[in-house]
Amino acid sequence: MPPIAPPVPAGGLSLDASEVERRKAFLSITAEDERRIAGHTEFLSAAARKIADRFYEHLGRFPETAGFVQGRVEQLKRTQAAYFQQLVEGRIDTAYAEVRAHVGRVHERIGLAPKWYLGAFHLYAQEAAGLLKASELGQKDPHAAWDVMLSLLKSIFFDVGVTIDVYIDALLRTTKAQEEALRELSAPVIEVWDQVLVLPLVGTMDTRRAQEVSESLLPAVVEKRARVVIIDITGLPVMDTSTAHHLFNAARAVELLGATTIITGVRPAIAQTIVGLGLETSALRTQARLADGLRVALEMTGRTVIERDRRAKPVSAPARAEQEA
Amino acid sequence: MNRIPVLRARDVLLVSVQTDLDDQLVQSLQEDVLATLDKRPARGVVIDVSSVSVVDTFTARAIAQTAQMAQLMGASTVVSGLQPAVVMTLTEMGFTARGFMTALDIDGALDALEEQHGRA
Repeated sequence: MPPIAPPVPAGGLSLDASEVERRKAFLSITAEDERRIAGHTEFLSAAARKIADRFYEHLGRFPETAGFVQGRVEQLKRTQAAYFQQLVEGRIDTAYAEVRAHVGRVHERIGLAPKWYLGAFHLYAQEAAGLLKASELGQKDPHAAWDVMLSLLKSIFFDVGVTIDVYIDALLRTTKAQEEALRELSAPVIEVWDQVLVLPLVGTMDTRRAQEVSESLLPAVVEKRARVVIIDITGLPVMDTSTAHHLFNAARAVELLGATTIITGVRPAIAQTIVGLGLETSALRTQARLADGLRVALEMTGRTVIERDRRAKPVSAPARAEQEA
Repeated sequence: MNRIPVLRARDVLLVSVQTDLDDQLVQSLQEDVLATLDKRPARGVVIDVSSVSVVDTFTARAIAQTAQMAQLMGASTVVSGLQPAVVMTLTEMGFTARGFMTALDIDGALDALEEQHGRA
C-alpha cells in the first residue's frame, strides 16, 4: 500500500492516495506488476542512459521537438534518466503521480503538444522492449521478459493518463479564466444621460449571462433612477428561443420597476427569427439604431434633440422619409 | 388582524406596504382599496411596495387583480418601488405588468398618474 499522502495540488485535478489507487486498479496494476518491474530495476536503469541518448537523438530529428531540446540536451538527459529511473522502480504511489503531474505541467507550460509527448513516450516503450529482448533474460526466458514488458507498459499508461489529465486540466483552467474575464466585460450598464441607461449586449446570451445582465441592470435602474433603458442588440450574432426569452424577460423586468425599455439594433435576421419563433412582440418598444433609441429616450424624459446645422449632419433613412412625405 | 392603511391624498389613494404580504393581508388590502373607492371615487391608486422583499405569484396576481378592479371603478393603479430581486423572480415566473403602471417610487407614480390624466 502506498503511504497516505495529502491530496496533491494540481489545479482541479486531485491525485490523492485513493485516486492513485483507483487509477492503478483500472489499469490492473497489481503488486505483482510492481514487484516484477522492481526485480529488473537494475537492468532497466542501466539502460536508462542509453535510452535517453537515443531519445534525444530522435527528438533532434524533428523540428517541432528539436526546438524544445536545443541547447539543453545534457540537462534534459539527466532529468529524463531520473524520470525513467522512477518509472522502473516499480513503486507507483502519490509521490510518483505528483512527479508525473509535474512533468505534464512543465510540458503544457512550454507548449509541447500531447502528440509529441505521446510520440516521445512511445519511444521509451520501443527502446525498453528492444533492450529487454536483447537482454540475458530475453534470450533465456522470452516469456518472463514479455511479462516484465507488459508490467512496464501498465506504468507507462499510468504516466500517460496522469499527464494527459494535467494537459486537459490546464486547458480547462485557461478556458475558465477566459470565461471569467469575458463575463466582467459582458454587461456594462452605461448612464448616457440623466435617467437614461444603455445596455449594449455583445456576444451570445445564455441563462447564466442573462442572469448576470439582470443582476447588474435592475439595481442600476433603481440606483440611477432611470426612466428609460435602451438595450442595444446590434452585437448579438444570433437570436434563439432562449436568448429571446431572456431579452424579453429583461425588458419586462425593467417595466416592472417602473422604467421603459427600448430595444435597438434589431437586424433583419434577428427580426425574422423573433417573428418566426412566434414570440409576442406587441409590448416591445423598438427603434432602428441606438441613435434613434437615444433620441426617443431623451424625448420621453422631456428633452428635445436639436440639430443646429441640418445640412452638415447626415440624415437617417426614416427621418429622410419623414421629410420627403 | 393586521391591516394596511389606505390613505387618501386629494384624488389619489396611497397604500404603503411596510411588511411582507401574506395571502390574508393582500386579500384585506384589496377589499379596503375597493371599499375606499366605493365611498368616494379617486383618480388613481398608488401601491408602494418598496419595503416588500418577497412577492409570490398569489400576491402578484392579487395586486394585478386589485388594479384591474380599481380600473373598473375608474381609478388607475401604479405599483411603485418593486425591488430588483422581486422583479427578477416575477419575470422568471412569467409575470407581466398588465393592467397597472409601474414607477420607481411614489414621486414617479404620481407623475405617471398626472401624465395619464393629462392625456385623457
